[in-house]
Amino acid sequence: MSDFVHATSSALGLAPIYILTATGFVIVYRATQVFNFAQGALMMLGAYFTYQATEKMGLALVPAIILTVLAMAVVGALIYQLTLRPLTGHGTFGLIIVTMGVSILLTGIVAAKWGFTALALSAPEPALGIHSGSFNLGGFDVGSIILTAVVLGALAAFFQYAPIGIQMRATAESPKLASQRGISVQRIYTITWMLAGAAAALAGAIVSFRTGASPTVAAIGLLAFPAALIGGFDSLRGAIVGGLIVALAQAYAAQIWGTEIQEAVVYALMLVVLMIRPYGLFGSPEVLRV
Amino acid sequence: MTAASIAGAVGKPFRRSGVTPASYDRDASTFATPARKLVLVLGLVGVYFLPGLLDAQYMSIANFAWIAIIGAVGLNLLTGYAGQVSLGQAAFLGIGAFSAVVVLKAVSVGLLLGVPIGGCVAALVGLLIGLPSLRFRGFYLALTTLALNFIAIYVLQKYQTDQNALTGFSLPTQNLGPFSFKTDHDWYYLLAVLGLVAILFSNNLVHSRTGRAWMAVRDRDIAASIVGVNVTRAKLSAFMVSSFMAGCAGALLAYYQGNISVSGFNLNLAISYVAMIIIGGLGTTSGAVIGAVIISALPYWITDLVNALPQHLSVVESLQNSIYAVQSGVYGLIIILFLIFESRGVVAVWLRLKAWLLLWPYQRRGIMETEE
Amino acid sequence: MAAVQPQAPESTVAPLLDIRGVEVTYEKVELAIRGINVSVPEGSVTVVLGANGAGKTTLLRAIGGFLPGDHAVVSDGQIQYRGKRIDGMAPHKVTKLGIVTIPEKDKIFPGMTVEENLRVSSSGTGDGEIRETLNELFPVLERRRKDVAGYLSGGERQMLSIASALLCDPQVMMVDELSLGLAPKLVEELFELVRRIAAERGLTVLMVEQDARAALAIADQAYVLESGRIVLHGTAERLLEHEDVREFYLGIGEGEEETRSYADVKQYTRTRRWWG
Repeated sequence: MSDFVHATSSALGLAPIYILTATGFVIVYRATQVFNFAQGALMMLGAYFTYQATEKMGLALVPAIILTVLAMAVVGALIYQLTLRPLTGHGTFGLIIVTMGVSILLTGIVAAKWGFTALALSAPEPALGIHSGSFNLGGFDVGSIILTAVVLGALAAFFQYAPIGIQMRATAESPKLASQRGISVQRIYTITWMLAGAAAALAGAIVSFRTGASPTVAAIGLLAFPAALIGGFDSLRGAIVGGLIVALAQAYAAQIWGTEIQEAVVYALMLVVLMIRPYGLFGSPEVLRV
Repeated sequence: MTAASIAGAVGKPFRRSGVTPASYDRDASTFATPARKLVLVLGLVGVYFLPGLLDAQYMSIANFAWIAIIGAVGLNLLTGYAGQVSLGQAAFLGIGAFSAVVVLKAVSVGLLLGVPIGGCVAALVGLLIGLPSLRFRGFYLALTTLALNFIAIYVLQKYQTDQNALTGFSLPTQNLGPFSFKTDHDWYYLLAVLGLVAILFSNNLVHSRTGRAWMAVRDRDIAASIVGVNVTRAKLSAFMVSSFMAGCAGALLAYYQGNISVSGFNLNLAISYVAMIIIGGLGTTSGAVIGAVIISALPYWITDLVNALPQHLSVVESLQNSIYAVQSGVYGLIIILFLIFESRGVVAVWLRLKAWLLLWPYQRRGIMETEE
Repeated sequence: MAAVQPQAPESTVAPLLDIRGVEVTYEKVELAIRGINVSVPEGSVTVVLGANGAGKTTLLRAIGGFLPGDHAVVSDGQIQYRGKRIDGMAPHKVTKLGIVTIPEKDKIFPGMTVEENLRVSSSGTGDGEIRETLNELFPVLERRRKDVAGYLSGGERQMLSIASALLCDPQVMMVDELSLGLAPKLVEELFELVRRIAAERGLTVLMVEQDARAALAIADQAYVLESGRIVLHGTAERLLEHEDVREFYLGIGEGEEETRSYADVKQYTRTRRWWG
């Protein structure tokens, strides 16, 4: 029993990363119908920026994170302007491959500059930890849960009520009509990618405190795909639920069967969910015309 | 008064040249025109004499390229002709490789059995991995194939750990009757023959009824089923054929390298095969071949390039120290650049040139730049 | 055969929207519009009639800036608005200039509520203006404010589309096939509504229509588009009396001779010419 409690607590520490990364996927997909393979690499870059901010620039925890978020928002906008905007009108397959290319390029750049060994951060742990029996949540973990909850709440409110949020939803439904109503679709897409960059920055910051910054961080983002798929690729609510489910599945699988099989279990779970609900738990079906 | 309006008023002043088959036999034949037959002959001659021109390092690149060609041609049949997005190539290669190992341990027979069995096992798994394609398309399909890919690799991983082969399995030198395959030179001819067989097979298949069914499914599978194409059969057969080829390639890889480990079969490998068919030209066999050669040779070219830069610059030195990362970065950059500037691959560059020549001195190209 | 000339003397004021010698080419080889001149005076209701495939929607797309998405360009001529060239401008900029479209398909955002649909256009203007517009023009929509737009009927969607276009502060309204898919009585009402709104707010209207009768009822002037060319132009009254318009677009034939086809009518045949 205590094993399960322990596994649950480690899942809760892991979930924010998946939730934030899945949120990044969902934001980009809803607005642009593009699957952003580079989200994991963006998270990796976020981890490295956090490292630079805390270790090399000597900033405290909160300013470092804020700086990283701003920097990654710029990176997101750049990626959109340089690689996706030239490809407007291409089929989705090409767009997905381009994001794969971006992912590979970013990994190469990061590895070239910082090497392949993991870089550890030395910022002090905030005194937020919850330790009770075998339920262990470190200060960073609790902090990241709070952060994720706040961010997602803000995002949901943004999309629901803020004028730009409404414009983004409109553009997602029909870019053509949106531009006819005076919305600059390019501007909306740029903002979308900035948000994705920001989400990746937060996820990356969390990862960097947990396990340090290394090129393999990008691979953590891979498991956020099943999270987003299980939740439904166009639903923010789905990103939260999916991220939680994946984190729990991974932790329990590792506890019961060992760490080797944990990824396979997550993917198997994703396949099962897709068989029952092809568009995820909260996703909406695509309409296909013959 | 524009060229287009002149053309519109006068009627089309240009006639599209190229292969316009007027009979079924002509359409189904692989080498329809004298030009194509000539290309075939020249190609065979070139392949035969190539080893004489290459040094040792390039011989090994050439061999890896032939193996990649087999895998890439297979993936092109699946994604380029049948339109099924698949990220599972790494698993099929791995399955082929591991089947070779298992066959070796079980009956101590190498190439002769290993390659076909590797192919068949991969084909069966391909059937399994292809099942989601009956329900999903596009990115959802890509992700389900990715998921099954990871599950399959986990199985291979488990096998490797259970066999206590933490650094992989090693395979002895192969013999086939009187032929012994020790050096790169020996391997070249075997791999070249198998590669050519794969290319001819693919070309032939594409011009056949199966190939046409695949293309119908690619373009509009709902409409295809209305016309009488058995969509399920088409999709699953595409998966099976392409994974058979990938399995054979994987087995050959295992024998050629002499050792094999599951760590070599990862997402990057799968992406590299997708990159091959896209950079070469999606939907054409020659594109897959070109792409395979380019991607196989790329790391070496990059290393050569970096080494050729002036050695005293510190920038160059740090590049050399992280050459693996540089290779990675350039590879990603090439994918991006190709998609932005010529998303239909190297083959399309040739087609554009052809269209320009055909229409000169008119400048309008547009839809003339498509093949078939 | 000479085209029907406008009844009124040529206006000395420059038209608000001026399409001069415009040619639109798809994929670099396919001509959809073959050199037309359309001038839309300020405050008027101009109608462009034509059968399917004549090029009407292409014309609206060209003005609205949507050609690049279909791989088309204005290959010759100019589109001018208040003397300024606008062909090739991005769609949202065209809208900001005051040229607002009520499209044929995709006229609303189906996943969002009526209120949210209206907010999209009016970002900037407040709640009050929305309420005012709805109460005055579309009380039906006011009642359904919180409903998801996807569940509205065809007529209600059309109304929502008009309302959201109005909230974009337009000077010119371009209406694409207003009558499509609607019951005849509703069509009459909507056309009258458009005319009234335009008159009250001093808007200029450019309509593209297949329902010639309803359109000509509210038009000041009309053009007939055939295979990318203007074949007739005149005031609504003159066109209503023109025998070919009556036969082919209004369905009021003489009934004595056999039904003629387009090819028989002299002005619809085109002699082969060796220049543009």
